Formats: sequence, structure tokens, C-alpha cells
Amino acid sequence: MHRTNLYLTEEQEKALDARARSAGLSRSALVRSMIDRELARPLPIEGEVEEALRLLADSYHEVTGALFDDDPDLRIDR
Amino acid sequence: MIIVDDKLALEALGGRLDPSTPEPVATTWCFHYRLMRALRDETRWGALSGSVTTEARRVAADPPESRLRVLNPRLITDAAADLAVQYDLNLLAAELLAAARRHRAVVRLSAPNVGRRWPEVMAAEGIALVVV
Repeated sequence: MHRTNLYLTEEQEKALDARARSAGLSRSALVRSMIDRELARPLPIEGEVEEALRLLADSYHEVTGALFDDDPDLRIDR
Repeated sequence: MIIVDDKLALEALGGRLDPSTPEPVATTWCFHYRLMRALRDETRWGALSGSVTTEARRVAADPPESRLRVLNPRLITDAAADLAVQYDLNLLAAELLAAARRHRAVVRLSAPNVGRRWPEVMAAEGIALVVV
């Protein structure tokens, strides 16, 4: 592991220590677990991908049509 | 919480669905599966297939929670089975109702995705339904 210095506000430090106490962790262990969780989150959706999602949504019903009509578990009961 | 169908899940991922609402938007496992199954079938999408669409599919497979949550079906298996028997529902509908009941959620569906008996069953279960 590498040692890293970082600046925290007083409020952040108090909140972090309170959370660490309730979780039974050291401040460092808690910060590492928070960083792991944050890094595991997917990246924000970029503009052209967002636009592709909108285009897919626009034609979704037209394209999927009767795709699920023969599936008793997944069809819409019409 | 607002629970949406497969089509509106795509709208939510595209940032179109009520971005100002404080309510989290979620979908059920079955609707998420329908969405992934539909997107997987590239021959259907014609000009919309390609690298950007591949990336869009990746986002849909593992959506950021800020846009869309996929609800855990294990938490509602028993309730869904009860509802399926009580109202003679298929898996898709039973999971949707059980999820809405558990999370006290509003159900929001695109018009073609409203089952014939769903409004009546949701009303009987006290579940709010919005059709768009």
C-alpha cells in the first residue's frame, strides 16, 4: 500500500470518524472501502451513447414487435 | 420509487424520464431481461446497430443506479407466486405487481405494454398505474 495525504474539511472528518466507529473500522480502512465502492460504479453515460439509448427507445416497440408473444412467461397479456 | 417497463427503462437510461424527480426509477428483472433480449437481436435493429449501440447495450446491461435500478427478484419470489395464483398472472406480471407492492412504487408503463387485466388487478392491489 502507498501512503497518501489528503485534505478533509472538519465536517468530513467528523462524519468519517463517526461512520468508522459505527462500522468498527479504522478511518483508513473505511476510506479504502468507500473508494473501492465508488470505483466499482459504472462511468457516467456519455453524450453519443445517451443519444443511442434514446434512438433505441424511440423505435423499441416497432422493432421488438411480437418478439415475446409466444413466450408465456414474458408476453403482455392482451 | 417508479417501476417502469423495458421501453421506459431505455428512456430512463437515455436521460429522458423525469430527470427532476427525486423518486428512483427501477425496473423488474423480467422487464430488464426483455430489454436485453431485444437489444441482443442485432438483426432487428438495422441502422441502429454499431459500436455506439454496442456501448448502449453495455450500459443497459449494467445501468448506473442514478438512472435505473434493476430490482432483486429474490426478495419477492414468494409474493409473486401468491399473486400469480390469485390472479392467474404470468411471471412478468406477477413480478411487476409483487415489486410494486413491496416497494410501494408507482408503476409506469408504455401503452403497448399494459396487459389487458393489469389495470384492474393493480387497482385491486392498491397499486398506482400511469400509462404513457
